[in-house]
Amino acid sequence: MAHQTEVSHHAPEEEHPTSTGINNRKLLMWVFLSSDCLFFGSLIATYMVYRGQSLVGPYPVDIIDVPITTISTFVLLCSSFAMVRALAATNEDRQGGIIFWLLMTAFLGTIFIGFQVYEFNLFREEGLRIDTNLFGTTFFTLTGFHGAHVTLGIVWLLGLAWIARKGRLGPKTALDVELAGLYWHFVDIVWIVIFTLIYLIGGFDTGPAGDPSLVPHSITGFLGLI
Amino acid sequence: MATLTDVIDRPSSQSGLWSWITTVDHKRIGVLYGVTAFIFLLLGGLEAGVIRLQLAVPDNTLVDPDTFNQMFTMHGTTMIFLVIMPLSASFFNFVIPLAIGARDVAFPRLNAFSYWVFLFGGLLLNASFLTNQAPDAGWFSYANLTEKPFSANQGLDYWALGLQVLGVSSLAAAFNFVVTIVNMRAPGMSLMRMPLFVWMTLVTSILLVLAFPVITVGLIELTFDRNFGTNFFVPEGGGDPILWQHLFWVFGHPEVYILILPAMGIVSEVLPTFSRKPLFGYPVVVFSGVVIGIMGWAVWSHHMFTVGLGPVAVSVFMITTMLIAVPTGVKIFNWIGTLWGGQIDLKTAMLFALGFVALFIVGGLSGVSHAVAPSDNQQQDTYYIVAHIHYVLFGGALFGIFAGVYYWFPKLTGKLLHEGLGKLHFWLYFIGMNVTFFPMHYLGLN
Amino acid sequence: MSSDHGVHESRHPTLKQYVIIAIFLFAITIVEFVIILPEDFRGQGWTIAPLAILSAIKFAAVIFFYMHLKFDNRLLTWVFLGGLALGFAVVMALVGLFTAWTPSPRAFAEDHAKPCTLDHELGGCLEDPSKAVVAPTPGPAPAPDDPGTAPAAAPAVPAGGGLVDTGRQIFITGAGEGAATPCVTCHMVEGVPEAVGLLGPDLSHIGTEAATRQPGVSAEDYLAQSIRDPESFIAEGVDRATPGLMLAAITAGLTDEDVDALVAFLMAQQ
Repeated sequence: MAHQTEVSHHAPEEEHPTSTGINNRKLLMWVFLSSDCLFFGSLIATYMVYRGQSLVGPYPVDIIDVPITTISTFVLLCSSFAMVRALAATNEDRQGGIIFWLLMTAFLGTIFIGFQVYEFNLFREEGLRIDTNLFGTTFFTLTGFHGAHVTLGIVWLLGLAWIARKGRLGPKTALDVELAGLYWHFVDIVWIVIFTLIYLIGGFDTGPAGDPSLVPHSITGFLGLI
Repeated sequence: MATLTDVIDRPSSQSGLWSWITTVDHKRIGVLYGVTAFIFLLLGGLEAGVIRLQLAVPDNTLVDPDTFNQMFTMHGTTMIFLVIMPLSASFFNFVIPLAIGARDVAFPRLNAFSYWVFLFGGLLLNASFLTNQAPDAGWFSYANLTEKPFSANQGLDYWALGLQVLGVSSLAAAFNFVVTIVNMRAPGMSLMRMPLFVWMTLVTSILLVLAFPVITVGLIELTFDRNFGTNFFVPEGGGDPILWQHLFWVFGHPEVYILILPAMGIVSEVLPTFSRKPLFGYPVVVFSGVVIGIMGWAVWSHHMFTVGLGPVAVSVFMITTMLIAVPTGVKIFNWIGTLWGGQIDLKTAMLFALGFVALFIVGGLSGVSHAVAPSDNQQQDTYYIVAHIHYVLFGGALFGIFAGVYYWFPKLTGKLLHEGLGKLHFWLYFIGMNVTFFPMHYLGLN
Repeated sequence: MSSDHGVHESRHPTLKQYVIIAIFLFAITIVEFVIILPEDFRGQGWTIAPLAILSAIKFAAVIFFYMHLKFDNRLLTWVFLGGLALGFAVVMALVGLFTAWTPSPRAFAEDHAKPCTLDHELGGCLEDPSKAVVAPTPGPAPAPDDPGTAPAAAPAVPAGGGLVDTGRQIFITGAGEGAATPCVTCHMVEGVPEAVGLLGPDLSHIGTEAATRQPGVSAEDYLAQSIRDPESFIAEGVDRATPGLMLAAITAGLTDEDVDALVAFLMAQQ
């Protein structure tokens, strides 16, 4: 059993070349992200299937506020930029830069979560709860799980900043930052999809009481144009 | 993470209970998986026994209706998630690093994590018995039977959370094996030189990685419906119970191949060994496995022909389902081609492998018969389906796994299992299985 | 799959490239916002294609540059795009299965909903519900070789004459423009095998109950008013009497004669 100890105490930089040349942990991260595509895919599918199916209001058109969410989308895009700066600083071994940009990314992520908390609260006050109608059910579940992903990312970034405090992040351990970055950017692209679907396209949906032909359906619209 | 290993030192007992609890060695974790799964196999068998005893005579009152529902729900759930999947995982753990020339899996600690989460999930699921509130809506737990008004006790919460935990375990293990097989092969072990079992493990792991998130979402929605008043599967709120069936089977059909592909891999190792011949048409067997893995995603609605999907959808899924029989049939011909002209040595492992091929043909043929939607309309929810699922999962997956047990046991322990007892085991299984399930074909169609 | 690559340093874009991409992402988001700015454009079907395409471009910019797939091992691109494509396919397949690509999922569901006429002898639905509806009206005993019609004839239809029978038919099949959702969809009445709905109140004994519901309002008026405008009275202590569920639009297509017939039928439900 002596060899076990060796394996688990391997530092990444000493790792043997792999069959594909890709680091094991990096491959693991990408396989995980691939899997997460199906997770968000299923949630999005639920949202799409139930679009415009709410029996009672409030409907999206009554409460969705696109301008506010556009701002929080900007904030998340900014955080992605901060994240690539953090990785660049790590590769160049600029210790101050590493901590600054990691904390900046986490800070911007927190702002985004703040917007989400504000929005959820506002919706609750305006009468949309998770059990009100299908829109509430699918909206809170989809955006809530995205928010949970962001929160996890913030915790991860703060953990990295804590480690960086002692100067333990640098070119040799850049992978630690790179993996957090991959996760963070993934959360960002999921938001790109959610923002387009729920806010820009679905944000003006009315209920079934209105003329059903006014309820746009993404697929027909898309196919109709092609 | 290098920084983490400095903080947490792994205890390194070499023997005793503590060494088993703290082990990250792939062979030991394989043994842990195997032993745990065998205990669950006994439990699931016991539940099956209760079901059969209750049905032995008309108007039996051995168990009350509620308990009966709990028995068949837990029997199905246990056999699929706590027996066949972990038994396959046991072989993945034990065999894969040895077969590809790696010292261990890519992430040994993650591997240990998978096992302990699996154990916890299995115990959580079965803890429902302690409160006499075992899940009782079938292993597929169709909405809206699972909604609070129809299943008021905690049973389905145990079910949803238990499967969620088991999903975490399966996903962690699948990530691990994808990375291990893609990245940790010894120099010279190109993909097309990998043993068949390794190939099937790779396909199975990829299916797990992609299929489990779908049921995760389904279970989340079910849990929310039951506890937070959401309307996902509640018609009164505009929801559609059919969505649960779709989410369940989008996961559920790849899951079927997750159960059978490892057994196919094992059989593809055992048959050549005891025929003294290399596997007939190795690349074809590999590609048919990969094709099954891909096409397995396009057939899920054949579980739902009777819900009224409309003629277009039904026709599409009917055709894809019939097509997927082709790569499966190709494998069977390859196995027969391997046997052809070989020096067949009927050791116990070989008997189980041959039993697998024979019984899987029966199960496969009845499978094609309900790929045809009009005929499926007659068979849905009858004993005919029960016969089919047991021919492919008992006669198929479990026979394949037993072939693997007899085949690799000497590698694990240095001892051969007793041939006489092994043959007795095989014949009891083979005859018992056919006597139990073959008549169900007739019961279902009558 | 070649093992001769060895470990290679993954290249990263320069700072300048990162800044350009950030500005690019911002610009696209602004364009998206501008597209839906005019009131007339909001929620219009044609906005979907440009919005989807712009988002896809943002998506690609992030994964290929910020996540540097462009500079990394090609295998990683396949790993991720594989999951992404499968996820996309699952979404499309489910949306297609639920809506058959029609503009309104609800309209599709209603068009395809077949009212189920329960067959109490055989279980399941009758092949042709119209048979069961028409059969009891003429009166002759159903042919013994046609078990489908038997249960419908069995319940004791009060001999209220033509009006009750007409009301019964409207109750089961609907009338006028509301024909898509007849009363039986949501209401159950004992003795009417088609009436198995569980969304609204049970109307099995409404003939007696209606008289006591609203002081000063006769049973007939109470029923007629409740059909015309379902929100008029919300009876207390009645199961499944949910405000807002029975929309006035459902009964808007009924003529005065239709309502009279329905009231006569409901009054017969003692």
